[in-house]
Amino acid sequence: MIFNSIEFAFFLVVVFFIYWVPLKKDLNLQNLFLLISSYFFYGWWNWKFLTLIAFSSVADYLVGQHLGKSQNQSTRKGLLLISILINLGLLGFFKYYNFFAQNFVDAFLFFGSKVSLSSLQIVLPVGISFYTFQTMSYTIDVYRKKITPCKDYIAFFAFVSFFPQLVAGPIERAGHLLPQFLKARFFDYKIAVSGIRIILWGLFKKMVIADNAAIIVDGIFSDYSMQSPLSLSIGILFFAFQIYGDFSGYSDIAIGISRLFGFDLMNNFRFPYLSSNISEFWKRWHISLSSWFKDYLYIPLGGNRKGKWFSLINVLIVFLVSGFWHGANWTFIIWGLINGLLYVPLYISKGVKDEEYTQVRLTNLPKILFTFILVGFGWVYFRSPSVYDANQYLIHLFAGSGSAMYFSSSSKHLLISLICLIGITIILTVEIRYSKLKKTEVTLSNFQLVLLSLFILFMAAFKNPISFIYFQF
Amino acid sequence: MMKKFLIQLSKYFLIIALIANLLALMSNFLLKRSSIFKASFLVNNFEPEQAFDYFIIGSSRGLTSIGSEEIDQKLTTKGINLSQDDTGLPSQLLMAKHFFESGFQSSYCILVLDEPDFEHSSMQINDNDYRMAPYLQREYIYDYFRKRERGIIRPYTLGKYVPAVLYAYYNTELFIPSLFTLFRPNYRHRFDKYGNYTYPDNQLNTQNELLKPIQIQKNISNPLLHTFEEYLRAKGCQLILYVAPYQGRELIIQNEFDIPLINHSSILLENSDFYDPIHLNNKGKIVASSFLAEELQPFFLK
Repeated sequence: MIFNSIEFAFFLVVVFFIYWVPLKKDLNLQNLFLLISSYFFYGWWNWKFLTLIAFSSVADYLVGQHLGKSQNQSTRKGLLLISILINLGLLGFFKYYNFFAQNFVDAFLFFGSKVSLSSLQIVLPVGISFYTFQTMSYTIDVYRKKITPCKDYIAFFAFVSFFPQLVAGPIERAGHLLPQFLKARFFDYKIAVSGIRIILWGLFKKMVIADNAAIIVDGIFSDYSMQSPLSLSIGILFFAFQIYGDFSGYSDIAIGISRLFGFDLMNNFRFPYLSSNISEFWKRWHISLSSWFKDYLYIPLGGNRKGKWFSLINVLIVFLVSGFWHGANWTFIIWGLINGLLYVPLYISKGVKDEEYTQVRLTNLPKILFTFILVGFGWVYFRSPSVYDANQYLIHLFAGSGSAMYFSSSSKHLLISLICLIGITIILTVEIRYSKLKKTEVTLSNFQLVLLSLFILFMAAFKNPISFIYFQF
Repeated sequence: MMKKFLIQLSKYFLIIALIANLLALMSNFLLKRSSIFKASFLVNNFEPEQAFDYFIIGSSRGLTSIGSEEIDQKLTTKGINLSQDDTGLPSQLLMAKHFFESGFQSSYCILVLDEPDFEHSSMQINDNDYRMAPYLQREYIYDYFRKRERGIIRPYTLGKYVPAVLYAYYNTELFIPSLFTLFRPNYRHRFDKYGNYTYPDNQLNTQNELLKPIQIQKNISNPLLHTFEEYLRAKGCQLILYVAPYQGRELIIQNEFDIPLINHSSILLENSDFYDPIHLNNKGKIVASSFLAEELQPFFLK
């Protein structure tokens, strides 16, 4: 059940009414109902994998309880280790087993030995990387005594499986989201309206930009060797906005739906393509993951406490792990590495310094464009099926002799490309305007929302409803 | 609070639905007065009182294998090509119905039958059937779509009553082209003033050796052809089946119906006549049309 589907629209309406009408006065029933609804939402895709979420929830709930009771440091460490092993174990098995098995075999083959290690037909449970990270943050925070263990198991289970952000984030911290399950929620007109606004903005990004761009991007990336440099450049541009529209659109819809139920989720994107350097980009892109890695990997590794060079190594480790988190493929690892390497010169020249969000001005424009181009090159690795294909794509971009122009190969493709360009122009115009107003969220007027709704209706790629890209992670 | 929220939500929903339907109706009006697709091209460019000697119905092979202009020059007849690419026999029957229900008359219908429709036809909606959608209010067109649509969202079935659903779902196919016709109402999408379309003289194989066709046994037994023939007979029109040339294939056809069949599957033996294995280029089309005209001559002499 994806957000931009008829099934989900029915689901949402039913859950919304039951939640606010018969259950509005009973917090426990509301939480229980959210839990059941979330399991139904997830089970719609594959009910068998509900056991994984349930198992992860039970394990972390119990670990949390014991952490709360225990004062013995080694016991506490042991409990934390159990939680981490369970969560990373699930993630490792379902997401990375085949990758490691294949690379293990390849490595031995490289040295002339043949080993047999059969790969398994493992189906990757949707959203496993998101909910395992979310539950892990809970046990780590309890271990660090940042939060107290949650005694209300229904609230805790509902927190782990909360359907708006279950399969693609934002990866919430227990300290922020869990308390919201424990206190009474009341319907707030203004918050609900803001939820609808942000849902529409998210739908625009997903259905008009991402789903249309996907048609052109798929065509270009699957036939890159025949494409002209202009077509390959358009492939990169459109993919940059496809993934942004897809993922930030999902986050917006998730945030909006949560508001309809009285919850506040963290902002996951802050106009990232208006960044003037890579460091800033990563402070504005997938914020919930970047901050997760900062808090639970970079700082425990030593952060910047052990000197500049040690810190630099930590940064590179974080980027590599972040790349690997996205998928069991060398393309993601290289993508992470590229971003890390792009960060190095910046780090050496400036040191660790938190930039303010860049205001878009004419003087900043070259920097913003340059950053976008660098990020775009990284996306080639992210999108390509293999590192070889990504390299070849870039070689053809600069030295290719292809002449095909997939984006204009038929009147339909030209039309779709035009819709994408209009969509990209709208998104950039709106974001530049809000950025100048120092706002981090797009809040369109009622009139603009009516126009936007009509634009979605008549420009969305209804016949190409691609599942959200980040579901696979 | 909740009541106010729901009232506001309903209010905006209604406003958006109203504007969207108005836009869809406008789009429908623009398409119907244009020549962009064959259905409206026929209605807007020909007078119903004018009787045609024949009309051609088919898929892309019908579009690119027969030039009605070439036939008319040879036989001094008046014909029109109503073939549409990416369509199957059911869509072609629909087009034939559209022809007669729009008040036109013809003595013959030349049906360019494709191999996939020899024995049976799929009940699916074909890729380019949306081109008939501007006439969805007509019962025979609505029936066609209603019987074939599957799934939760049924844009054609709903579109008769809520046009916004149809025009939003088929936005790149219907809505945006309708805006285009606002500026160029006489634009025809890939066909000339007789409804023909020609592939350029690019040829599939530069080596112009003579082809040695492979013989393939085929049976024409699609029950829909019987329906087709009956419908046309009721309209005073005779159905003629035509199998257009294939590259390197000779179809040995057993025709189970009492319908005249012109089998030209292997009539062209030069690679240079083909654009691809199933489509002729301009050169091939002229030759094929000339052969067809010879075959048709006895019909028009009757």
